[in-house]
Amino acid sequence: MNFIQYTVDAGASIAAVELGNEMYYGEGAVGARYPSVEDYLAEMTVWASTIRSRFPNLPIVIPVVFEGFFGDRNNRTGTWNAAVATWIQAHGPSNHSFHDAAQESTGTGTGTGTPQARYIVDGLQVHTYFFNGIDANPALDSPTYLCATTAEKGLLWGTVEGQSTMVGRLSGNESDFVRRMLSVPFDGYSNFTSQMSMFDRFRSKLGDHGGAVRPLTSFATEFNMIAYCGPSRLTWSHALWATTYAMLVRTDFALHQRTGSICMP
Amino acid sequence: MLHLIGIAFSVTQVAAISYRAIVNTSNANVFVTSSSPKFGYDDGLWNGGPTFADPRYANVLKSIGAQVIRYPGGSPSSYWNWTTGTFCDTSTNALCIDKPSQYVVAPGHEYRLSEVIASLPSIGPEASLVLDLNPVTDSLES
Repeated sequence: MNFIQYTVDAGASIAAVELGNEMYYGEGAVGARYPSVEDYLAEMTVWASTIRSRFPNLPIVIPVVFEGFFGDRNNRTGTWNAAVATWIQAHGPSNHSFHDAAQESTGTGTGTGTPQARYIVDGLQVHTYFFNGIDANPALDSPTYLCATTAEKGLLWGTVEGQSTMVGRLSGNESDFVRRMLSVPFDGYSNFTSQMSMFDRFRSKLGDHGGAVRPLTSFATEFNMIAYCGPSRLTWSHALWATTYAMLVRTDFALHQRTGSICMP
Repeated sequence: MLHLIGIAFSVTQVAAISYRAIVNTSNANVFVTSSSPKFGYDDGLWNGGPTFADPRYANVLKSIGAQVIRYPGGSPSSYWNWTTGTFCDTSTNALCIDKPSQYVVAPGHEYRLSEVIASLPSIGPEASLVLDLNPVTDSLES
């Protein structure tokens, strides 16, 4: 709460607070702290209600699994979204607070607008990641390759050597490499749009309240491509991928309608 | 040149997006629909990205119309101490989770919330933050 209060006192606007990052993954300390999704949701019931009471207009966002990438990792990710949807349904909608749209950009006002019932959270955190199949090192192009050594990570993560090698591959005789690289953002976009059923399941679970309940917003607070060991940061292919993918998603208004205006730059 | 490319690219590598207003509720009233998106940047400074100490960074964010900055962002959010701008770098020290004294600064520079807040006006008058809370190694009241 002090984290939020400090930000408010500093005069900064808060678009939303996220109840953790990718908590469905359950790796390391995350899994130790919250062995199951039920453990996590029980604690977040307290967090969400406390934040509501102190900052009634602050949008609260909960992580959900992007099923196209994380969904089949393990039992935790495979059951996460259904558990979250059930939790949201079980805790609302109710008059947690009211929300003034004019104050939404700050999220911290006392609110003077029309009272509107809300769910226990205001939005879903969705992180969309995709394998890309294009790396500086040809040996790592395999779609099943998993990073093994720190040296390999270093090669992939935006080193000068990595970029030089990438430029060499782009300017060389690997016509398939260029063609494949150019197709990656379209593949990612296709993958993304093929996962819309996950949003439909939330919609089906929460039902239609005839406009009486404040709708959820989707927050795509991360998107990236995966180069098997991790994002191939700061490479030419990465920049082209990000730019093209962002344009594809941003201009797809039908997608925004279906997901709660999910969008990426 | 490479550095400038790096800065320009970094602002597009990941995104922090929200939408401001409810435009209509025709979509079965479960998800917001809007024609007024916000978009921005999931900072990732903890991983050696550009720093707000470099004014070019905020200028690039402004030039692309970024409206939202996510702090601290990414997996380190679960091991982050917002008051010090330090985190448990589990990639090099898996045992630091419960040992704040072993938390480290981001590679190359510290990354404090105060720095990000101070840079918001340079990004734009409506620039805002998405705060990543830490329900793993931090408490609700912290």
